[in-house]
Amino acid sequence: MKRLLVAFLLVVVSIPFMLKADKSKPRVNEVAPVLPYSYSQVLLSSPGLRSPAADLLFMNLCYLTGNDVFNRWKERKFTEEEWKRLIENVEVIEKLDPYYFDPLYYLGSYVPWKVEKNRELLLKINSILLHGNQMIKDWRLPFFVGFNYFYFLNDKVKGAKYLKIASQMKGAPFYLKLLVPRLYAESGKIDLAIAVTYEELKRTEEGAVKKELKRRLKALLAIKELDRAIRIYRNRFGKCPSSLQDLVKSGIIRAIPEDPYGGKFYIEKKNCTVWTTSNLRPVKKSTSSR
Amino acid sequence: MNPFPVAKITFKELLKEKSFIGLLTLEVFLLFVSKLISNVVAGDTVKVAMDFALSFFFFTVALYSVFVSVGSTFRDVSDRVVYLILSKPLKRSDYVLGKFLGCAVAVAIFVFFSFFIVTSGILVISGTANLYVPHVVVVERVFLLSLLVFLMGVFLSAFGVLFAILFTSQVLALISAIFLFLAGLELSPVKELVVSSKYVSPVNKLIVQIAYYLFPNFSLFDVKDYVVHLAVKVSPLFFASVFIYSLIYTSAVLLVATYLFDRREL
Repeated sequence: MKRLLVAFLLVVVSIPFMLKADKSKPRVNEVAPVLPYSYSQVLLSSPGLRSPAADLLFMNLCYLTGNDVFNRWKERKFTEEEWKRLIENVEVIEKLDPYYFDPLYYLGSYVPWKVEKNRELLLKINSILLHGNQMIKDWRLPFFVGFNYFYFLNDKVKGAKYLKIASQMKGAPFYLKLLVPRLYAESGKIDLAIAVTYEELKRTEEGAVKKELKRRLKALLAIKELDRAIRIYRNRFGKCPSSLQDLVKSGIIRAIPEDPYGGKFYIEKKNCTVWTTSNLRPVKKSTSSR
Repeated sequence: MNPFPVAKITFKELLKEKSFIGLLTLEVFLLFVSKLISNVVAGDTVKVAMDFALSFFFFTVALYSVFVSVGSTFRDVSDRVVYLILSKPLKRSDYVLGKFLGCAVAVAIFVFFSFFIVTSGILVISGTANLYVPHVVVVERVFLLSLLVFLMGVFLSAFGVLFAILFTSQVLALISAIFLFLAGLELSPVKELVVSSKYVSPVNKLIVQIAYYLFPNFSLFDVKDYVVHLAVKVSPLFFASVFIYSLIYTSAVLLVATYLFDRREL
């Protein structure tokens, strides 16, 4: 019993020394860098533990991003190089656990806003998301790809292509079906927009979506008709009409069709093409003049 | 040929061992650890908890199989029980087979209890998780994983018995069995990396491929992804192939073990 008491006392006596040593211990810099992980190294160092390794990498990634978001490192934010490593680490996670959705969701929903000026990284993000989509059939993955294309990379045709894929997947919101033709139309691909709308009309059974698609189709067909009339006018007079009224005056069309969204069709002088003040969205009459 | 008396004694002896209850208790503790780890991650916490819980289950069964097979065979020699047993009208090969069968039944009981512990743990974690999209747990899939883990345990037990006969040091036999298991898990990833690499010479690629065909492939028993991700599909042919593979390879290992034990000087 005495020995036990002495042993206990010795442990108590050692405490101040331990505290002193702990205070004077050399510390690692608080700024945790984003380390690049190699797939083969992680794979070989974790036999039979691919998924837990992927989980731990994702935890580390969330921790680092959290520090960046909440300004824990007051003196700086992630550099472009660190964002690049972070994106590559998501790629490693996806190789380790190809069915893990959360890292892809993080990559698609958050990271593009941080690297919006870097075309190369945006394309890298898109390729990882598309690779992930081969395993995980979730509409949000092609949606992120499409969004990145039309919003950050300013490529509406590719944006529409991936949004169309997303809109046809299970669980996709109905408005995606309407967004796709609009993107095609905005990028001047009226025929493609009409074809997509027809296709969706055939596929869709929901009443409200069907009604909206019919309205979209009506507007697109009107744009197509006006575009055709402008072509005839240019062939005849060798110039772009100054307004749609010129098409009526020259007898090519009888009247300017009405925009079913409440806007007004007009000629975009730059390309001599037709567009509408409604932007293919319902507008109030008072705000429709342009 | 009658290995059953030895198998019965081995099984009874193994159930009384502390490692049985000790490793089961460890599994319960590791379930709590899995839950704690999953709380740290963003998103699907149930997926992460399952990843860790099933990995712990997988490795606990592997450890148990190695410990009981090596430990039990070695103890017989060190306690001189083996002389008593072999003085009866019993072949040496019957003794080896009996040891193996006893270990296999003990592993079966261990996997049976582990299955209940892990499944109930995962169901509780899944039921109490607050997720926007619930993570569905399919108990049948956990059961199929448990069957494969049992086969793996039996396979490892055969190696445990072999190493206990082959080596004169228990520690060496234990370490060898554990390293063999880890190497067997790495086999597929190593082959995948080496074959696809531009920097590995054709000779080394050939060596790795030969090793891939001959070495015991423990990664076949690891179907945790099938349990965690419902999108992963596995054909019944896979289960049948793994069963036949482990049956044939285990028989081969036992043949070698009986051959060595017949020639061993006691």
